[in-house]
Amino acid sequence: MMMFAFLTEVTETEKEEGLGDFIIHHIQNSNEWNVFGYHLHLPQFKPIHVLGMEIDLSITNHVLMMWIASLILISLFYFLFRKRKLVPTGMANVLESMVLFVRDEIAIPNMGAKAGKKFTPLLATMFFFILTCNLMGLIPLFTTATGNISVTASLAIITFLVTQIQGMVENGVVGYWKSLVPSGIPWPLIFIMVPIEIFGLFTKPFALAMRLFANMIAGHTVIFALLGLIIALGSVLVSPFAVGFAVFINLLEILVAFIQAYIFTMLSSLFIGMAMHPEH
Amino acid sequence: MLQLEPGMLIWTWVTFIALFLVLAKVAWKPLLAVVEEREQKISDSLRKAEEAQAEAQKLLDEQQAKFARAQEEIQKMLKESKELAEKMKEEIVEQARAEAEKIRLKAEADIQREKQAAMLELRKQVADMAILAASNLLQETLDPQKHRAMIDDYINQLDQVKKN
Repeated sequence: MMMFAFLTEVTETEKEEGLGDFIIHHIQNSNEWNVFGYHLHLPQFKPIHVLGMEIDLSITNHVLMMWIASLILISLFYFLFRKRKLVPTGMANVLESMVLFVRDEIAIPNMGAKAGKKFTPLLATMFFFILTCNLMGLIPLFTTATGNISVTASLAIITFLVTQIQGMVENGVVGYWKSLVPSGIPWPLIFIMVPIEIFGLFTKPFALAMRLFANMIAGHTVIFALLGLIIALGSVLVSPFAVGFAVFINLLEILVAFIQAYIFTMLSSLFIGMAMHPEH
Repeated sequence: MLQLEPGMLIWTWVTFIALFLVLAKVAWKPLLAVVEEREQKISDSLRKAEEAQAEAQKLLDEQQAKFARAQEEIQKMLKESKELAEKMKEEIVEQARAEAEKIRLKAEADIQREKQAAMLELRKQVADMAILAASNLLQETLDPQKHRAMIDDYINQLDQVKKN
């Protein structure tokens, strides 16, 4: 429904802008929330200058989406697990099996039983937060916060920091930095290995952030492009194909939403686990 | 589009950390506690079931051993009592045979004695009769009539002797 609302809007107001600009505009962060054609203006603050950086703490559309995702998650878990039941039923069972999936298939295999159990809350939060943001992007009215590089980057930075801190806590500061270079290599190689390993430390979260961002952007771009064909070709006859493909891509996006949430969580736990047990 | 906005980074961190803290309290802690409790319960139940099964097996083995022992005992007792009965039977039969033999011997002795006595009596009677006949012969002369009467008499007497 929302898609068509967008389209009618396009034909009326933004046709001259060009389709590319329109697509970019709708994927990008903005300062308003488009609710059924009404543009709700979100609060904006003056940028603050700290250490020569300009920090704009305005509540943007994606910040709002993250808050809505958080609220959905908190209320969902709160109402479903308010009563303590030994064996959950219905929706609580579904959520519990997902949490157990995070614990038994993601955390424990990568980190070992003890650390895996300890990190399950963090990884489950990550998984559900990313999943909810991803899925919200598929629902009209909402936008994809995980399609914003800043959001995915900050999540990746959390993984990065946890990895470094956990590595140093587990192996000691010196032990951790030593473990970055594989032991038993000829000494001249150290001059090559050290920069590579340090570079590798940063590429891991970078890849993490890029992967999630690009995957989320891609699906939406394709959907908008397909629907844009109707306008670009200026014919109603295109619409069955365009809409059909868009629906197909949308269904694919549901799959991608789950897969990307899984991959992000999986790789995070893998990186943390690798930092904790460097020799394995 | 690929530019990092510090404001967004900060908001994401704030949101994520707040979400993590709230969910840790609202969701993960109770949920994982229940899961652990359930896993504990399941493993406990399994262990208990295994123990109970081992116990049952032990009891069964014990009972079977006991039963086998009882069976053996019964067989032994049966055999013993059979042997005893056989022995008793033989004894009784032997005794009866001895008794019968004794009775027979006694009867034979009795018969012998009676016979002896009868023979003595007979002999005495025959002697008496002979004496009588002889005396008769000597007392009377024989004539046909008288003879006939005498012989008849004699025969009658003989009959009487026989009867006696």
